[in-house]
Amino acid sequence: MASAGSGDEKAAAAAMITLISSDNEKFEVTEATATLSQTIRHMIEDGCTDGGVPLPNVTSKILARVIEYCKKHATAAAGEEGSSSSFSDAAFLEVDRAFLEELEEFDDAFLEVDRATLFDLILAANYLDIKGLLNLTCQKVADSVKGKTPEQIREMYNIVNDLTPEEEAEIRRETQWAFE
Amino acid sequence: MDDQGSPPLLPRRRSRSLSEIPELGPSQATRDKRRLEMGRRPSPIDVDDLLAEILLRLPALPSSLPRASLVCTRWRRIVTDPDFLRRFRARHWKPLGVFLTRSQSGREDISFRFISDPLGSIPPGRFSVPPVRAGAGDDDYTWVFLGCRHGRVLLIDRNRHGYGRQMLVWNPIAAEHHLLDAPHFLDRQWNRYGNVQGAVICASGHEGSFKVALAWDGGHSAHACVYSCVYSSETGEWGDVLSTAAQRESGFILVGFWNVLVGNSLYWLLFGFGSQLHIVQLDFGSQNLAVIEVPSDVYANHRGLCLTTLANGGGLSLMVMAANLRAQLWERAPDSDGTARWMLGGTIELDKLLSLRPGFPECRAILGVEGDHNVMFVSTYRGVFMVHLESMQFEKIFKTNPFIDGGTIHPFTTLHAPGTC
Repeated sequence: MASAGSGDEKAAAAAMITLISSDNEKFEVTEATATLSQTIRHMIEDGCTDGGVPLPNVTSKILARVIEYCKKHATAAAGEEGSSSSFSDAAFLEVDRAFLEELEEFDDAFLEVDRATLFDLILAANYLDIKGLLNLTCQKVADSVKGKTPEQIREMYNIVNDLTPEEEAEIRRETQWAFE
Repeated sequence: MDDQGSPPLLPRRRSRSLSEIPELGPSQATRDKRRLEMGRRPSPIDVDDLLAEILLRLPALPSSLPRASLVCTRWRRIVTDPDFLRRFRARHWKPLGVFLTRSQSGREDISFRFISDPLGSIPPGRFSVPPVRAGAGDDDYTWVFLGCRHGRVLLIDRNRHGYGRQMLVWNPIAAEHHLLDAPHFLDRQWNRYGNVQGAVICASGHEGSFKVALAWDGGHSAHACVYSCVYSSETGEWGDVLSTAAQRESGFILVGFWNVLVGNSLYWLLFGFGSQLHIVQLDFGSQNLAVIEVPSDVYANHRGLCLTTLANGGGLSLMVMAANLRAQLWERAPDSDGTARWMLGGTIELDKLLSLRPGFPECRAILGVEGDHNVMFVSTYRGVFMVHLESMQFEKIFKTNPFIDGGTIHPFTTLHAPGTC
């Protein structure tokens, strides 16, 4: 996010936010990165970020990953803004497409985590209200359920089947065609 | 806003941000917040809102939600919640693809184009229309497209003398074909100038079962009647022919092509003598065929009429197109004295939505409206758009109109919410 303009640089340098994880680790991030979180955006708007933003529900390990995601996607958002004002030719569109592909690769690699981390990322994305990250992580869990039988899903997520045999029969009867 | 003196800043912030997401109700947000504040680290699977977020992202396949309902009572409650189903429909209104049909020198060309493919693996060959089995001594039969719904397509064969003797219920994804004999009574009820419309629906309750409903008009008989008959794959037979008087005076009547399914009933438009309009209702539950009156001031000077399910709670609504792709939505609601009356339920300005400039009237045509999902296909000078009339989301699907002359677009979707058939 380093900016070349001297005036902008000062503004950007001034707009740093300190995030404090549950285990008291401090992270310095730019405002552009931090405001991917709607929760933090509202705090900045209300002017209550002086002295850092405590995030008692997010560990330093998860916060580091969340910041990594936000940095990458904040760059993407800045790129989109630039495209409408200063670039309009085909060459730029090509660069833009390449960047989107890179972003997709980043997201894929970002999701290469164990289930506990994935779940913590969902909780953090929800807590911080980061829509893109919530979508990405929830989709990953949905993909793991996709095409599985109810028995497989229960086993995967340690869910106890509390449906009565009658209820099960009723659900199967309602939509028998779907269990072909 | 004064936040000084309220140390637990984030919980307050969080509840505010949650309440700003329209999908998350405040009571649920508060409940989830409490769970998070209690210091336990719940799995997102255990938090109703987050489980809903996850299950919303299941693919729009017929099996997705029924399977999720069978996991446990909590999962079942979440995926059968009306609000969840509305959001699921809003995410998944896009059809898998569209059938394009066009009549050309007595034959009907039927082709398919993918729009989205949730499986990413459906061989395009699956959507090649199966050949017509040649009739005895006559080989010029071709399929006519009657409609598609719930992942199945209904075709009837026709030759230059009129409609033929067989119908096909085709499931392209499963590569299944069910050939039905067209009901014998059609012989007596209408000739080659007649008009028959049809619909296929999946009946709930039995494996792979479906129903086919036909509706046809008495054409030019002295007492204009509309007829209907239902085939059930469970019994393998056509039921009794139902009939009802269409209008008091004699004259020409015509059952419209499009139909919508609301609850247990199918509805078709019925065009009558002197541009009168009625709506035909076929109730599968009570086996009743009825004609619903529509006051003429509702559709006076219209530029197109279609049935949708845009009324409150997915009820029947009549969309009356005016100039410039503007439309009025009429729905039947009980009056203070309990009688059903047509009320103006809203207006739609497609010209504004699609940023169409005034003065470009050419090439604006409605290529099809699928009323179950409220998806409209509009050809404009800016391309062919698919518009979801419920959410007003739209997408350009073709740069130019795929039809040189007239043709129709039929969206093909496999989405099926549990228990709504």
